[in-house]
Amino acid sequence: MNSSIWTDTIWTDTIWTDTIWTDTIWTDTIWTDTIWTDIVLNFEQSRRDFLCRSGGGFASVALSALLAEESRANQLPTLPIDPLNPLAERVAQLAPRAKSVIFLFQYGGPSTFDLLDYKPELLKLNGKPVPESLKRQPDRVGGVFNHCKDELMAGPWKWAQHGESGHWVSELLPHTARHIDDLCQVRSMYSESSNHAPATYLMNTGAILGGKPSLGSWVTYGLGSANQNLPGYVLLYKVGGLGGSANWSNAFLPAAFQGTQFRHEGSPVLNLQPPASLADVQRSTLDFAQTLNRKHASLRPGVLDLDGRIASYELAYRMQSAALDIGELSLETQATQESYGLQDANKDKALFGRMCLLSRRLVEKGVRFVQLYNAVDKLGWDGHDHNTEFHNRNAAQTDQPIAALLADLKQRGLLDSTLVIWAGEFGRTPMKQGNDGRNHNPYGFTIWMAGGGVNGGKVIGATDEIGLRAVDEPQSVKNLHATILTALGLSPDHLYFEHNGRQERLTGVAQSWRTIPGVFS
Amino acid sequence: MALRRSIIGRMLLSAFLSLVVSQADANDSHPFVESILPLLESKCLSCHGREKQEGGLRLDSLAAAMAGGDSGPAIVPGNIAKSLFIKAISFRDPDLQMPPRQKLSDKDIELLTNWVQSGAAWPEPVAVLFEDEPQFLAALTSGNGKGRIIREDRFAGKVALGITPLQRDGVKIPDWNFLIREQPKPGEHRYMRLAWKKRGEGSVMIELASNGNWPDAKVAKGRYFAGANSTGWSAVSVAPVAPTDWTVVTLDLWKDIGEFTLTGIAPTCDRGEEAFFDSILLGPSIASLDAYRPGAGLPTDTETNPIGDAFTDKRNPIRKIFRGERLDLWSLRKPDPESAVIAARRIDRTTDPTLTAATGSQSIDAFIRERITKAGIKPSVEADKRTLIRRVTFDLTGLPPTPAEIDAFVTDKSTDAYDALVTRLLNSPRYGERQARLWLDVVRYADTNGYERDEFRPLAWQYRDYVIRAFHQDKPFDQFIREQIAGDELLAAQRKSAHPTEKITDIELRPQSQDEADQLIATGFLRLGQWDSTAAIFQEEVRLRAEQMADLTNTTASAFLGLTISCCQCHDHKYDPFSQADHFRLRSFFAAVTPRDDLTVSLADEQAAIDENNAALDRQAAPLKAEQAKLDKANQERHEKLKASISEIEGRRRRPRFAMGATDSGGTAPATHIFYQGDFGSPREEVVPGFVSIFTPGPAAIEPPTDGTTGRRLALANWIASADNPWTARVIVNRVWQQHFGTGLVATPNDFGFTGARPTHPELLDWLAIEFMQSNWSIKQLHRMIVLSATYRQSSIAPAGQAVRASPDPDNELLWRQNVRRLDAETLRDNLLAVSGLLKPFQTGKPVWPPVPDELLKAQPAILEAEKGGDGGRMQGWYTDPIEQTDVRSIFLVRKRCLPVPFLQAFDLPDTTVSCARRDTTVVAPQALMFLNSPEALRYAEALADRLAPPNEEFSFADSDKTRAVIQSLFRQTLGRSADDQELMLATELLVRHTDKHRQAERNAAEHLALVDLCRAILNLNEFVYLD
Repeated sequence: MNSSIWTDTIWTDTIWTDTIWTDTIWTDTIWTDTIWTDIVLNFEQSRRDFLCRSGGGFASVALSALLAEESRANQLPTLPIDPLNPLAERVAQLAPRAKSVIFLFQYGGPSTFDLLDYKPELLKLNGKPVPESLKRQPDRVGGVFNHCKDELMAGPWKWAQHGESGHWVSELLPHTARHIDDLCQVRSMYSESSNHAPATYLMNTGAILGGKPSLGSWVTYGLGSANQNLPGYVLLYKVGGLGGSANWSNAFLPAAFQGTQFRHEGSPVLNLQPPASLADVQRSTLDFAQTLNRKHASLRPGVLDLDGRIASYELAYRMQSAALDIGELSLETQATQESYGLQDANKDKALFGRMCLLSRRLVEKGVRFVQLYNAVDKLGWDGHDHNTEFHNRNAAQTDQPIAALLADLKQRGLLDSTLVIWAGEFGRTPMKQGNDGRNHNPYGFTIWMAGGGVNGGKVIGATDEIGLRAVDEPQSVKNLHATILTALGLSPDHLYFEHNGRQERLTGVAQSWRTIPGVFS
Repeated sequence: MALRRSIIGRMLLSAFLSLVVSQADANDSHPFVESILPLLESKCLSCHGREKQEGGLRLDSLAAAMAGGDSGPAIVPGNIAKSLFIKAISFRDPDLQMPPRQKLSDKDIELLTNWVQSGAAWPEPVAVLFEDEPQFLAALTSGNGKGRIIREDRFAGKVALGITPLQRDGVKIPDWNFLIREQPKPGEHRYMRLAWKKRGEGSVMIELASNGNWPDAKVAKGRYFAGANSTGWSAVSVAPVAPTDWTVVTLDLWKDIGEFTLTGIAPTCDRGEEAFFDSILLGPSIASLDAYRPGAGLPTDTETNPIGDAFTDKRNPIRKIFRGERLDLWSLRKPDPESAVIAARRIDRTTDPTLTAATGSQSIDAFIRERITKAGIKPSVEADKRTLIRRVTFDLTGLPPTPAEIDAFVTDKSTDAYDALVTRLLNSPRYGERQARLWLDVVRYADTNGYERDEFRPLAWQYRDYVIRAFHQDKPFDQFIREQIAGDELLAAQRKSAHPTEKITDIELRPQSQDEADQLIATGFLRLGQWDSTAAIFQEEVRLRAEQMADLTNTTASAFLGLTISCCQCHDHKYDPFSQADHFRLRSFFAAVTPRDDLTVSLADEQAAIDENNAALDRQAAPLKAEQAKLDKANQERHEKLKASISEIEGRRRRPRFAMGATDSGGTAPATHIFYQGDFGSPREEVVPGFVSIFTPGPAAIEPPTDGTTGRRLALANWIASADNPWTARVIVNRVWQQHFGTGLVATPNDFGFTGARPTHPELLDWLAIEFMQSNWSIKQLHRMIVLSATYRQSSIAPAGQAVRASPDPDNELLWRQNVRRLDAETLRDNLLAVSGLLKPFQTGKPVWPPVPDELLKAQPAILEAEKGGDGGRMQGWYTDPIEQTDVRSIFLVRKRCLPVPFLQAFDLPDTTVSCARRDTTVVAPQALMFLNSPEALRYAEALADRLAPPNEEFSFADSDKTRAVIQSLFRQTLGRSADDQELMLATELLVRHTDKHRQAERNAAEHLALVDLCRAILNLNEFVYLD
């Protein structure tokens, strides 16, 4: 850093009048007003860039003043947690649009321009090299051309327009196509790694490093849960994303906000039931322990954890039956079961159908956040070779159950209060890799949201003509997270937890995000 | 992209030379920059600069100085008589004397006077197009030559640019819009200067883009070359022969080309091997270019007068960044031995006037009592002996006392019974295991890499065992720090001091003793973070390295110093007085770290045996190999036989024992750059190793112990492990305190900054830190001092008549009672193993893989791949050991990043990504399910029941004496106490009732099942899980 203050003489006082810093900008209400926030954010971003670029001592002073302002704007404490009932429902910070989330995670990186992002140009260029104008080497994350041939490859699927919106959908998703007017598509997502684990961590925890709380943990921390007899954050998977438990970790948030896996077969929660030989004495055993526990606690007044643990045993006892009920899919009508594909000859589809139906039953009971992983093996959508087979298989497994879920939620009046998200960790290349495969592509891919007050039938952003890069309104994963939090009535900057001296947030540094414009009307 | 840098040039009429060619001299400099500017900066500008303008005067530009202040023009060039500035510094006029407090030296006055007399030449800005920015190369995006950044041979910048035939070019370089005109206004230019040279035949050339276009090939304008041009492009010849050594060329662009906007360049190598470029500048005048010192920027007076700490030196960058604020952070002042002693004496006398020399423990009590007394609270009484032995045994060893140990202690009426108990516990090997567990949290230890593949690290456990040994041996904590950060360099330094005359070119690391081997194993600390083995596949190595370096820096700062330096990755710290540069200065201490999995740690005897074994094999194989060499190729059968025999012999070779650690990559380290907003894709200025700027803003003094290592980490380790460091001792003392009370004296052990908690007892913290350092950084002494104190020995139950919530201190910050604490995950499991009699005796070595539900394993893509044999031997899987081998203490269980052992995870097992300073103790329902219903929990209950009454033993609860004995034994075994009458009654009822139920359900061994139920109930009690 150049220590000379001489360089600073170019920053005349007129540029830096106090008028830019007026208190009116820094009112506490800025974050309640989306438009105003956007104005401030855009201004803030450019000012911050400017300050940082200018480099010198004065700039640093100004930056630190700016940061100090930020800290002043964030005087809300870390949310208090009641030891007797850590999942107690909280009032949302902003007006909520949705109450629950079902996140349909599409592991492996679906080739979204083979599914939803129609690219007629790619069909024309099939077999041809990538146009020179699109060959710019990516500057951040390497690799997109490195393992591919310089040959574009169109998918073999037919496309047709659907719904009132008339959006194109590939024949891979005939069932989803019927709901196209309910989907709000963001076609210009980008990720920050082209590698499964870091990109999956990013999509689930907001950081490519792992070790941060997952979206579901943040949401249950922010809102608690509406059903105290069930976990607030439920995971449904046969095979989870690469990188393991860090994808659904509570990390430094209290364990009350960790995801609980509902199993796809057998008892719905691990260790939910005692072995048969102990089932009929469970209550009696518990009564004995609780009598002694209460006596122990009465001698130690003020140690709330002791009362909390007594309460947790009663909750666990209630959870035994509540969770069992949730898992009882036979209570659903035959028609419902069939719509989800529960009896389908394709076992993998039937399994995914069970997960989708379970997720509806869970949100119906007030569970806050449900996350499904689509994969039944390590492969998922990851078609490095034979991309067509990968996509045929995964679409066949997921399309009908997802459509059934949307229809079911809608029919029960739950879709308005349930935000459904469909997203993978990244997309794939339009260039050919190996044996008719496609490589990872973090530079442009599509996700969709439905329900929860989003604009159905809307398409936001665009990739270039071959689907390689987001060129119109590129959206970061952070923006997606901010959008999800906002939908639930959580203010991204005010949802934080003090850890190791930092205010940790899902969306990182305050005001470094924007909600995706156009998702909500 | 920071391709531009403005500095000061000089306002002088310049000679209109078309071309100026001169021999290179990097030390060419301008007198203004050399001597005048530093004087103005250090003596005048603090009052007459941008921030302050005393008397309305600014002296930060010639125009401002000529305009002057309230009294008139300060400088009139060429006229010292009319220059008030000269009048003031000469001290001739008693009413006008500057600087006010101290007259300048005669030499300085003379310098300034001559400068004004000769016209007050004052340089003006030049633009640095390229000098030391490695990312400059990225701006040259096309052309068919190859470009590289050269560090070793450069002209004057930190790097030079090398181009092989033909050229690299950028017709529009980001941020480049330089207006070239005859009479440049501020921010505009006329002249270009650069240094170039050539290797091999042909010419060196540079082409300039005007308004986003290259010059016409047939027109020479805008193209300059030296040597014989064979490119076919017309160009202006600067010299007939291409220079073989650095040569500076100065070009009058306006004269040669006319008025235009320079937007890009193409450095070109016409044939031969490589052309080199460096220090490409634009300036409005030749003089401004002359005034610029390539590579050095503006001179400062810091070389002759190093900048001091922020408390005493106004020039300290932290003072500038934080406007002199934030210096009042308590933890910045190091604990002072004298005031600690004074405080202790004051306290001791106040509490007990008869005391002459208090023991350490009594001093602790005195500090604590002082605040309790002031608050008007009664302290608790001493806990009963059963409670005490349970508490101290768990705290020091992480295990429960056995009933026999409890009885022995309770019946020992001697005055030093407790003292003896503490001594026994501190000497127990279990003590090392417990303390190691807590340290492994702090350094985020795991046995696997994390990320996609999460491969097993087969040698990581050696670090874990090293930590256990270190605590067991009570290794001085400062030594423990040095070994972890720089054990290899420490060993190298020891070798060097033992053989001072020998030239040691590489680090001779062969350890001669276990202590020396431990120094190498300790460097495993540098390897504990996550590592993504797949990053290279997707060309993400740069990102990965940036993450690893940040992780290592942040962990070191958290673990040893309690600093949240991680905040400074992107910007100056929001709260604490640390700059962004501070993060990167610390980071650069690790710049040369190279992972090593081949550090030999076999000792001499062991190595001799290995060598002997291998030599014998060589002797055995030698004749076979000889025969093989001579053998006729036709004799296929004999050939195969020989091959098989040799391979069998080779298979018996033994390898030395290796450790997972790190050394430097050699005597030099790659450059460390500050990342703009923390983004690895935006490197900015280079930094060199330095400690936090608030104390020492200059570079750290580093002496490499040998030629093969940089010595950086050793310098860092010595700074951390020093009594002068204000944080180190306090941080570890606080961690140990937290272990015994649940909360530290500073409640945020990894954050000693403004957002962290303030110490509840600052004097006590300092006194403990001083005592600790004075007793040779002994952790065992520290434990002893704390657990022998009356404060520690208090009951956790409030004294009679003292309401808890209504007391002035409901949260017990003042420690008027002990805290009730939940056992952490590992201690819980170890406790279950211990009381059920399953716990295996002491074991070290490779980690143990406990059984995990199959569906959890199958849910992990990486593990699935391994189970199908598809991981190429990378050990991505889960390698379950037979269950009877897994009943070891939890510290010996494998710590797999993508799949924590579920039983432990349920109880707030910390994440292994960042340093964990304090375990959470959340209470949630899944824990109850785990404790009630999991196969593990049932197994413990069954084993405990078997222990109380073997299942094959005929047994009836009708026998009330026997029933009572079993129940009492159960209570003593698990809770360390006898059951009272009510508990006896309830337990007996349960046994009878459950026996009936099991009989009705026609289950075998109904009595035994009922006993299992009772055991299960007891293991679920709060009393079993919480410590009084």
